[in-house]
Formats: sequence, C-alpha cells, structure tokens
Amino acid sequence: MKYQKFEFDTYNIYTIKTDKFKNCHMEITFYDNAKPEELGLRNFLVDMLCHSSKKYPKRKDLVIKLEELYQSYFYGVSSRVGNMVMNSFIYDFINPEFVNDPKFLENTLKLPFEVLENPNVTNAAFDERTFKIIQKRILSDIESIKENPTNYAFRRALYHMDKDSITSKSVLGTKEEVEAITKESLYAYYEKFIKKSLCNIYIIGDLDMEEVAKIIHKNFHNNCLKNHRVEAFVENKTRKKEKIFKEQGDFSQNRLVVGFNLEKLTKEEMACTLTFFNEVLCSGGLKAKIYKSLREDNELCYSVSSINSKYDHMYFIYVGLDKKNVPLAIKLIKKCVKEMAQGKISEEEMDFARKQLLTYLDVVMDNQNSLINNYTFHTIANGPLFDELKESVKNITANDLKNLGKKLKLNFIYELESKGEEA
Amino acid sequence: MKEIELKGLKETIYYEKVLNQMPLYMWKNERVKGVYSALCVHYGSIDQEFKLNGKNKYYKVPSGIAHFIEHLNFYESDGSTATDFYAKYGSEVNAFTTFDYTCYHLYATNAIKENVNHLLDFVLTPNFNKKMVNKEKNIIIEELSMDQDLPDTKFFYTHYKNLFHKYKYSEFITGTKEDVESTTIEDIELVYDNFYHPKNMFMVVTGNIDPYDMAKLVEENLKKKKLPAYKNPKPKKYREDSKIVNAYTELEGNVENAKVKISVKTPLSVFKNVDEVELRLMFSLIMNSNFGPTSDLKEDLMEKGLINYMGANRSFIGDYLIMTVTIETKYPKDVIKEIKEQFKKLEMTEENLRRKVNSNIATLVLMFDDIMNVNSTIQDEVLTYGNVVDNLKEHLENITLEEINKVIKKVDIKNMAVTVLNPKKTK
Repeated sequence: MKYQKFEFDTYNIYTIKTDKFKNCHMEITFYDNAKPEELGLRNFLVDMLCHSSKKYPKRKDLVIKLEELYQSYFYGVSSRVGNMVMNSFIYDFINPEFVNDPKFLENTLKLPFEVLENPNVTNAAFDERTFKIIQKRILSDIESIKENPTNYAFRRALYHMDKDSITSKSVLGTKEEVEAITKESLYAYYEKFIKKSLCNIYIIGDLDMEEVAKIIHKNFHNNCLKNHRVEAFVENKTRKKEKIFKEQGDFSQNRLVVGFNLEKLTKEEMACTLTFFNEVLCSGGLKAKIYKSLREDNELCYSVSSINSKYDHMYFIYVGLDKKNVPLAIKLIKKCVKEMAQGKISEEEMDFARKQLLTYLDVVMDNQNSLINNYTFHTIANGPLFDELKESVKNITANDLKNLGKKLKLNFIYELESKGEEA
Repeated sequence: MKEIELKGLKETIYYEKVLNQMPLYMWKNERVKGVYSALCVHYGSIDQEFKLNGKNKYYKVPSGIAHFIEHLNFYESDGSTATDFYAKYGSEVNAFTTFDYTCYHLYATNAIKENVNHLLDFVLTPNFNKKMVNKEKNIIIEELSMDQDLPDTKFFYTHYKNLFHKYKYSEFITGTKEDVESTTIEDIELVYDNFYHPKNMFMVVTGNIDPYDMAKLVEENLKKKKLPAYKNPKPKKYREDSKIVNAYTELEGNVENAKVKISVKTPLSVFKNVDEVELRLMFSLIMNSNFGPTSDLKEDLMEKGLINYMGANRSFIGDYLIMTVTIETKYPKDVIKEIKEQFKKLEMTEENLRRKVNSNIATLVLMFDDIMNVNSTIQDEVLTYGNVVDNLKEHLENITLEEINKVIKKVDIKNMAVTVLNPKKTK
C-alpha cells in the first residue's frame, strides 16, 4: 500500500494505492470544532446535499445517474468525535479497469463535486420540496431513538452526566433546532460551511493517484481556508463521588450504563494502551474480565459492550439485564475495573488481548473503509496508522494497563428501569 | 477437486465433496491476509419435527432448540470453551442460527490449520450435560429478552403469522422463554446426534488459502472422526395453504411512527417453466424498480410527506414467493392505499431493466472485495440451489422485458397481508 499526500491551498488529498480491492472509495471530509448549535444544521445540510442537486433535482434522478455509473454510491455521514464535527460525503465506484470506457474515471469523479457545488437553490434558498422531505426524515430519526433501548439509554445517560457538554449532544440536533431551520437559513449555513470548514479528501483504490488528484483539482473549487486549528479533545467534568441516575422506560429488560472519566492520559495511552485496556476489560469477547464475570460466571446477561470514547476522555460500559440482577452487575463491574487499577491482570489475559488485537488489525487492514478511517484520524488528530499500532500492541505491558486503570474515575451509573410490562 | 469458473467474473470456486460426505466450497484471495471459514448444518429453527431412516415416526422437539445447541456447542470436554481455544490465536469465532440452518464461523489470520481443524472438532464433538444446559438457559433467556425488547422483532413475527398457516417462520428463532425452559438434554442430544453429521453439513472457506491444502486438511480431520451411522433425518414438510392467514392486522408497540408491512404471497407452482435463478433475479429487479429509490411511487410518497422510510424486498420461503414493502409513516391508511395501487400495476421499462442489470453486474464484481461477503453468498446459493451458480452474470443478461411482464401477470395481488405496528395509545 502506498500512502501519498497532494497538497493544495484550501484542501489536501490523501491517497492509498492498493490492488486489494476492485472498488474505489472516496471521502470528501469537512471538519471543524463542534458547536452545539451547529450540529443539527451540519447534519441537515449533508443529507440535503446528498439527496439531490440542481442537475438532479429529485432523489430518483441522482440514483439513476449512480446506477448508470455502474452502481456507484453517494451518501453522507455526519459524526461528532470529541470536540470535532466531521461531515463526510462518501463516494464508492468500481475500478475503471472493469469498465469499457476510457473516460469513466473522469466522469465518475466529477459527479460528487458537481452535486456538492451545485445544490438545488433558488433565490438563496434550498428547494422547498427536498427541504421538507429531509426535515421530516430527520425529525423522525430524532423521535425514533426511543425505539431502541440501547441508544435511548446512552442518550439519557449522557444528558444526565452533563447536559452542557458537547459529549452529550446528538449529531442530529434537537427536535426544536431542526424545526427552526428554514430553507433560507440552511442555504446561508451552506455558504458558511463551504467557506469555513476545513477540508480533506481521502481516496483508496488501484488508481493512478496523480491522475486522480488532477481530476479532483479540476473539478473541486473549494474556498475553505486552512486558517484555524481544530481541537479534538473534550475535557468532561469529573466527580468526587459518582452520580446515580434511574429512569423508567417502556422496555422489558433493564439497561445499565456506567461512565468513567479518563484523566490525564499520555499520548501513548491515547494512541494504543487504552485500546488494549478495553480489550482486556470488556471488548475482548467472552475472555474479557467483565464479560466473563457477568455472563460466564454469573449468567446475568447475554452480552456486555463498552465504548472507548477517547476524544471525550470518557469510557462507557453498557449491559442489558433483568432488573433483579442490576445491583450485582454494578458490583462486579466495579470489581473488574478495580482489578485493572490494581494490576490484577494475568499473563493469559494479556496474551489473549494482544493476539486478538493483532488479528483485528489484520482484519481491518483488509477493509477499505477502515483504512480510510484510520488515515483520516492520522491526518486530523495525529492518531497512529495501523502498522504503527501493531508495533505498539506488541510492546504493551500489564503495568501499562495498571497505570491507565488508575486514571479511570467513576462518573455515573445510569439505569433505565423496565416498567415491568411487556414492551 | 472441481474448479467452478464463474462465467464473466474471472473468479473460480473450488469444490470438493470431502470423503464423499461433506461439500466443501472454497475461494482463494491472496491479496488479503484473513481466512473466513463457515461450517454449516442443515438444521434451523423451523425443523421442529423430523423422522429418521425413512420411518414414519415423527420426533418432536421444542421450538428454539437449533439456537440452544448453537450455544451449547461452544463448551468443550475439559471445561473450557471453543472461545478459549481461539483466544490463543487471536481468532474470532462465533455462530448464528436462522430459520433454515446453523452456522459456526471463524475469522483467522494465523495458524489456519489449527484454527480450521478445531472448528471441525468442536462442532462435531458433542459435550452436553445437564448443568451446562441449565446454565445456558439463563443466558439465552436474557438474549431473547433483549431481542424481544425491539419493536421490530414482534412486528416481523406477527407479519409472518399473518402470512403462514403452518410454516414455522412465525416462531422466534430463539423460541419463547417457556420453550427454552422446557428444553431437556434428551431433546438436545436427539437433534445433535441426527443432524450434526457431515452428510447433513457443508463448509465454505474464503480468503488467503491454497484450496488443495485446505481440502486435504478437512479430509484428514474428518477421516479421524468416529462418525455415527447417518440416519438420514428428514424434517417434516408442511403443506402450506396458498392463501394468506389475515389480510389486515394492527398491533401496538414502542414506536413513534407507525410501521407497515405489506406482503403478497404467490405459490411458486404458478411459475412453471421459469428458470429458478432468473425468477429470483427478476423479482429483485421488479421490487426495486417499482418500490425502490428510482421509482416514481417512492418519490411521490416522499414529496407528499407520507413516508419517512420505504424499503422493498422479495423472499422465497418454502413453496412461496413473498414480495414485501415496509414503510414507516404517520399516515398508514393513505400509504397502504398507494402501495396496493402500485402492486396492481407492477411494471418495468426496457431502459430501467438494462440499467439495473448493468448495475447488478457491477455489484457482482465488487462482491469479491470482501471474503465474508463471498462466503455468505456461497452459503446462500448452496442453501437455495444446492450448489454455487456459475453463470449468474449470464442469467442477468438473459432476462428480457417480455419474461418480466409474463411473471408479473402471475402474481395474485389480492393475496395480500398487511400488518400495522402503531404507536402505543398511551403515548
């Protein structure tokens, strides 16, 4: 795999040339410091821009064009990572080698830029028809979060943790925020978004990347200036004593979310040790400490999950279980975390986690999206590339995990309690 | 070893019937590091009654037993689990159960020989006792509580209850809590002893392998096993009435907007002389063209603000074709009316057909980027057709507008079941 960077005044193109895939994958990523009041606007805008354009005014027109380009895909993804908001326009297309058309590369690469730069706008307002479709869909997405107990429990837990922290904000925005957006205000925001957000383009495939960079540069008339820094990390408040929250939900199983602050992690801990720590504690399947304790030894649940939210300096553990088992589950989770901080980590646990992580890294290196995602965080937040991560994984010790374990501070325990009726 | 060339795709599937018992399908990709192996048993959640050795007696077991065995099979004789073994290599092992089969799968990037050998060993070595059966009951009950908390689960099974009189597709794959509690070790052994036999299984291995070495490895492993005599288990085939059960059903659930499923049930017997592969492809194209993102209907419903989501698919279940449209809406009555109208005038244009055929061919080419995708596609084809289809591209190219119009005419759109999941009234 050959990594390359093409630098332009207002954006960079990062490429990975590899013959592993017949598909080519491109992400046009706009990113900036996350502002709570703008999250919903950005997400709305991404959906709007991917839905249609001046040339393709209806969704079906755009999908027909994508089908003509041999089932290319064009869609948007908005996410908040720590203090950053990232809005990516993703474009997948078949390698030109499989298409009998010498102009295919140029024609296919033009499309996403043509769509992004020519939205369906009249008199400084987005087309009303599309605007209403998207607004309705986003409002429905916001409402439907209550249908999934896992997502709902997380959302509520973060709200209780600190409703003012950017960590607790949904990338969709709130119902009130989305309802307040107009087709005029959205267009005004589009102008700002295009000019002010930082922008990188990432592309992976078996392509002549010099040629790709030339075509993109010819078709992308980006004006956003690289004139400010983006701060990736959020410092969430810590507590002297954990807060305990309990709410009732219309579900038959209780949901438990336990949140920890990660205090003053070193660069190496952020880059690799935390991932290793998570593998030993919770994410390493049935062999992980918490999994083994809750499921295998005590039959309290089917599965336990964890989220290593390092850019928020937070770590979360989640479990769905019967109401009567909640107190014991909390006790066991605390015990497992304490064991990590005390360095009660066996050689076997270290060995299993190390091997699992190395396999995981081999697997993700066979996946286009993972490779691009890794390259993105390498360029934006100075994260390690997979090869560097592999080397680090080989050298982590139990003592490293013990030191990190001491930096986990319990912040909250949130329980979404079953009302006791059938959902 | 047979080398099956996939025509027009420049790909080869390697096939061997190991010891003349177990079909083994392989696809080699040297550009990746991983190897994905799937060991599949033709025993799924619908197989609750079966007979042995051609005799007339039917054995009946509780619903959910296929899934129960999938859980128990991970326990090994020395008190460890298969997960313990794979952790030594950092490999990922897991399993799933569907209506039709059970699959044990493994992703490994090193020690492939040891990994694959152990997959065959742990799946084909029974090790059940009462204590583990009781322990696993608690874990499975938590799993099914988790699944059944999702409104879509109840919605899905209720809809199938409206479609099928006798087919077991309307029963939870996991069984109910009562089914799980009533399952005994004797039930488990009865199923395992008769269905977990290489003659009733198949294996698919994709990734960075030498197919000849892999076939040898599997053969040597099976040779060492003392396999019981095969009793040729035959699950009961239910004669399903061609009519749907309920034309319209409403239920309530923890949803914010109503969800609607509209299905048309058509017996496959009406499509005489139509190639099976092409029939499946044609109905995918028909559903996509009439209800998918390029359809006028979807565009129109979105514009009127009547839908938040609409998806369409077709499935072939037992002896029936089921064409389904799923919608999320605040206006179920209006939308149902519009969907019914579209079913009455199913159509396809030559331009649409050619464009969709070309895009489907591109999808076929791109499928080979992912060893898991290739593996699961081979599994699907083996389950559906009994073998891999070597000329899928040709089949797609053969489809004509005339044929499409012919099969559309065979669909009895009056045989339609509608299920509406409404938000709870107390909300």
